[in-house]
Amino acid sequence: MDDLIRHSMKLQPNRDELGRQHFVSGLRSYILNDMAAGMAQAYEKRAKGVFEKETGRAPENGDDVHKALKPDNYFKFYSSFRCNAQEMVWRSILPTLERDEADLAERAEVLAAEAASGGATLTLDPELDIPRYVTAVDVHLMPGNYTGAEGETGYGPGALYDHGLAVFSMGLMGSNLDDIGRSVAGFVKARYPDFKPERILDMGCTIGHNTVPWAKEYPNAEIHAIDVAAPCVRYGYARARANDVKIHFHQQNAEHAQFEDGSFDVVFSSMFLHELAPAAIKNVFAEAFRLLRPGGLMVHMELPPNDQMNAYDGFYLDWDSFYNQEPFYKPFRDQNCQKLCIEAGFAEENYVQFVIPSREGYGEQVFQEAVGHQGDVDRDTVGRLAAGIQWYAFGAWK
Amino acid sequence: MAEWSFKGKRATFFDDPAIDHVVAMLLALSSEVWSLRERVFVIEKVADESGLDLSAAVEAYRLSGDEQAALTQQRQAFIDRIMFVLREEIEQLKTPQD
Repeated sequence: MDDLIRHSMKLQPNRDELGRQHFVSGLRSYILNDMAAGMAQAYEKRAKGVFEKETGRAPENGDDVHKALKPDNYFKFYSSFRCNAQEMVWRSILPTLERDEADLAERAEVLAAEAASGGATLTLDPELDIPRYVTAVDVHLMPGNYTGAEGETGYGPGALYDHGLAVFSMGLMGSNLDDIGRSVAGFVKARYPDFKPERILDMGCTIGHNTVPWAKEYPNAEIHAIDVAAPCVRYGYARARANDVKIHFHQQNAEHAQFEDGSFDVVFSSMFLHELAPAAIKNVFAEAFRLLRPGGLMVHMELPPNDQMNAYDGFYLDWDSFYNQEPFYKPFRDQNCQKLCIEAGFAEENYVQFVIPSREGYGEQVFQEAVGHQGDVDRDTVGRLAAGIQWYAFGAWK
Repeated sequence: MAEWSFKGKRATFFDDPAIDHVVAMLLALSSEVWSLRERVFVIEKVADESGLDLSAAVEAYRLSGDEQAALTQQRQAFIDRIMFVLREEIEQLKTPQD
């Protein structure tokens, strides 16, 4: 595996840049597999005992686990390595991007013109008020966040995210970064074979990498994708064309989208809610309810919630909230997913949740076998980007 | 290169923040060393395919003045990539943030 990007919207790293990208992926794999296992041992054999001795009780929740681990030497190195590796992800892309952005933008414009002649649309809204939870923080240490600094071409932040994600995910998000979308869309299609959505919306789509598989699973459906970040939807529009699918991209805020009531059969999101302020999550759910037709499905792929997980694995995921500039990660994970749906107007009995083995990681047979099962959320493979990952998704039928 | 860093404050984990800096440099250095190894691996493969006895030729090679100058420039950029955390600390002192 040499190139990390499999479509034509790719930057051209030189040999050394490619070597650095490979190194960061390898370092992350070591941290998230080997060191994660080491840290679990350090916790069980060392940190937990110290905590118990000092407090006279066992750790009961994620905060206790955090307190127990914080002074532990192995935790310090795990955390320090992870923070560095996270920064190195973006640093392994930015020099290439700086050199190659203009060329990439030229190729993107050709793809965008092709997309337009194929009937796809890109609708930007320069007046859109970008929410503070996007402008105030460079989420997961990504320089410029999704909106980026004032880019010369308008494609930079999208390209940074696409290529960075390829380095970051170590192949676990699929060889075309579409495994979440492929897994969730494929799971919905296999579990509900009579459900034939005609109009599908992806909320907070960024570069549309997980929108693409919906277009492939449901080729007759009309697919729309929205995000507040213009550079992401602009990039996603060309990228979708590079992946041979037709998707309508819009610069819109999912808290108050510009579509009619009851105009979608599926409202989907992936890795989106945990980057929103809690009040915004409520608005997004209300909006999903408004946009769905009766009989439609809201489905969010997300990190599994703390109330379905043991304290250690719960904290392991919440690490990002403390150290990876993910301020809304834990606040999201501390919520009850079913309650969020009910508060938005969905009936309690219409709640659904899925544990989906990574379709590319496990292969088609295991994936299809899982379709008939409930799935156990409280596993260290659920939502944890490491070998054997399973995706968590939840939502409700309207 | 400061624009290649995120907006916000780096987390620190060790009692002495100098250790956090050393870890950053160690990992950046590891990345450089790996990248180099990857390149050498490719060079050897290319040489093999071309039927060239590369290692003997490398031992016998003498750099020209221009080549030395080019390497000097590359080496300074290499060192900067490794030592960036310290440089940025000073740069931030020079341009106070809001």
